[in-house]
Amino acid sequence: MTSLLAGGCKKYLEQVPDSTWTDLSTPAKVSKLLGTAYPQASYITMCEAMSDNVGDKGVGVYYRPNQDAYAFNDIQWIEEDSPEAYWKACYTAIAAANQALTACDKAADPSAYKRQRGEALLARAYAHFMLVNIFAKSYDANTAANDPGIPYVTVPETVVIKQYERKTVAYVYDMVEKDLLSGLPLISDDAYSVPRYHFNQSAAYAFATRFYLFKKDYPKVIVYADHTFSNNDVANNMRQWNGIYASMSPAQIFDLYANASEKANLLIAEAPSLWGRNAGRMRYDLDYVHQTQILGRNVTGGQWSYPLYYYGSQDYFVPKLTEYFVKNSVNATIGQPYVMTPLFTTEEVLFNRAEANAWLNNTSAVLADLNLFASKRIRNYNAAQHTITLPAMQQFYGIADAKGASIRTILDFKRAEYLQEGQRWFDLQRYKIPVIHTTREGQILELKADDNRRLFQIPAAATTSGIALNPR
Amino acid sequence: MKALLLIIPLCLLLACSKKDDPGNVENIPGLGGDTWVNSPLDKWLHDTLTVPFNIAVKYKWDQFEFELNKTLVPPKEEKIIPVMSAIQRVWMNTYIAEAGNVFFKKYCPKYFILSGSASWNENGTITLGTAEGGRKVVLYLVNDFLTKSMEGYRPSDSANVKQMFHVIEHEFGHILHQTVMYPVAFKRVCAGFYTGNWNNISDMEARRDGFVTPYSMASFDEDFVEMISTMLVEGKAGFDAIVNSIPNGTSINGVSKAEAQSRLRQKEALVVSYFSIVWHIDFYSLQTRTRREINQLLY
Repeated sequence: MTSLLAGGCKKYLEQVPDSTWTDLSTPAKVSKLLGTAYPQASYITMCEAMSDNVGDKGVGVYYRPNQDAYAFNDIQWIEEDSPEAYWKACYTAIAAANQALTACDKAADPSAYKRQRGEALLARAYAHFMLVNIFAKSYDANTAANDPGIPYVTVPETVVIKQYERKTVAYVYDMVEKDLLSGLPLISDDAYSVPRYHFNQSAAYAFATRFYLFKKDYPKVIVYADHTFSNNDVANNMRQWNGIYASMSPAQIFDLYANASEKANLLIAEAPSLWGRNAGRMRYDLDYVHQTQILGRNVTGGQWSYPLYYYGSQDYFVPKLTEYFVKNSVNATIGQPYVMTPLFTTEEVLFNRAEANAWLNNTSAVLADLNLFASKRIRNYNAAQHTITLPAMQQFYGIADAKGASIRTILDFKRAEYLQEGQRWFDLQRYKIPVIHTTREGQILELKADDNRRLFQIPAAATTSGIALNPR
Repeated sequence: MKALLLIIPLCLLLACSKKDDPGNVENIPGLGGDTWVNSPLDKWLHDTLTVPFNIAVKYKWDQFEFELNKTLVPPKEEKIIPVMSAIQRVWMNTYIAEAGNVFFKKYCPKYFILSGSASWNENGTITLGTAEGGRKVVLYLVNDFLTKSMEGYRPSDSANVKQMFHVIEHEFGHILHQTVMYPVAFKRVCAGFYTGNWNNISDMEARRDGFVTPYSMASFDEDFVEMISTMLVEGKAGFDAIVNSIPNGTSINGVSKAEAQSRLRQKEALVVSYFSIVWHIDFYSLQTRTRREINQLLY
């Protein structure tokens, strides 16, 4: 009996244990590591609650990332959905990318690792780019060289507590651009089993459009947008809100929205988050007034086809992201709530191009993109009735200037499209739009254009690495 | 270690004994619930509803039975018997006649809470009733209840009273489908036309999209129980009139008259077959009885 067991044991021990994480001796193993090079955290809860998409309903689920953000206070929460969790997840993703890059450098035949290098560079650039936009000021060419950035980490950390510098927003943008541009030509979709879970070509170009839009380098936005889809076919890669989605139940939409089979999702990532459970239900959330304002009248004269539902009597939501509850073990009744989040969608490429064209005064190109968008979003779209024209935009917003009217239209369309996805916050940051929150108790809280509280606070734990907190 | 553990509780006890006297704990007002001398009203509720059906009716004020952020008023005591006896005639007796005592005792909600006023929502709508877990039903707007046997009744008051019946039939509909779900085919009839913005849609716009009321556009479940309650309260002729009221042309959502009417008829057929297959109830017969009772009370 003993010898039998020993025999079995020996065979077992002869096997090299699964060490995918440390053994990076083949391109496939590096690819596996890169599966963790995307931030596994969600900014939606905190960004939505900071934005002008929400109101105080008086009652609802109480959740620190929601209530503190609505009050423009530092968020007293370090678990999922908090700035601290997002910070940590980004640097964890960056660490994986750096480890992968080291493996690519050390490999005997680096040319075999080209695709892995491309993905690692893009992932590293993306995580830093999101960090700088959440924890530092939005890019402004006049001040970027002085605005504190976030540490740009390019090598694996090998000591317990390493010291870092925030440097400047301009420096971070330069580094992101460098990684982005050197990674972009190396990206190839055939490296991935499910391309939408990785920086595939379309996702990488979409990231480039966001990067250059935020950097206000508009001609480049258009160049990269035009490269995002083969034959520049945006239309057939858009979400079919007024097509197949229109006849779906909320449960069906929840299944499809963040799914890899949806062509509009260019890059999808998982994150531990309570958003799927809480969306719409929190106290400071989408209420009647805001849903009417955002999804009500629009410049086309038609109705948005976004389905709007509510729980109870006032918890409004558009079915989008839902919870995946991962049990701790097969028989467990406890586990971790996750949400799958689209990080880039086709529509953003369209919006980024339209916004760049607006800044370059190409109004006809703006209208072409906006009308394409409307044709996929307006219920019973009828070109004769719903076509957007420059005078229509000027009249709807009361703005005489073509550029101003175009940008207002784009920002409003984006606000509706990305409702309850957190994106609105970044537009508010870029244009320094003041945000006003009122409370049930009658308080009026104002976030002015240059308010220090517009920057989420860096985790206190980061000060041990010599990182200065944001001023308050 | 054991000694230490023993010392700590002792210290706590000592500390405690030095604190203030907690007062007369035997006499905290309201602890153990309110008590009052039973009135004829309490006796009527007990004899009519509690003894035969195990149904309790709470009309004394308790905000904790409602949403805490709502401002409501208690029901007037003189309205309780008219409301509950009308409900008994229109809803209880008709279901018992069609489905039997056992069915009714098993599935009826056991706890009625009454509020005098309506519960106003942010979006300008009012909540007229809620059902929780098949057990508790809250009825609002009791103070507006008037039937033709009551003083000061005008025919225009019938709308309020019909609303009350609509609510109770609606909430009981929820209990039925929460017990046995309706066929999934029902969800396909108007798929894609449901919206949280139903409150900005008029009755006629809703009908033109194939919905019996705007509220039925809120969700599948609401649609199902609105079909039940509208058909029961309005009667067959009333429902037919609703279907026939849809004008020619197409709705703003592009639904033609024929399509809207066919949707309502499909849903009607699904409700009728659900009642027959799941509950062995002849829906049309229940409808006739319910409408007859309402007619006697109101017209």
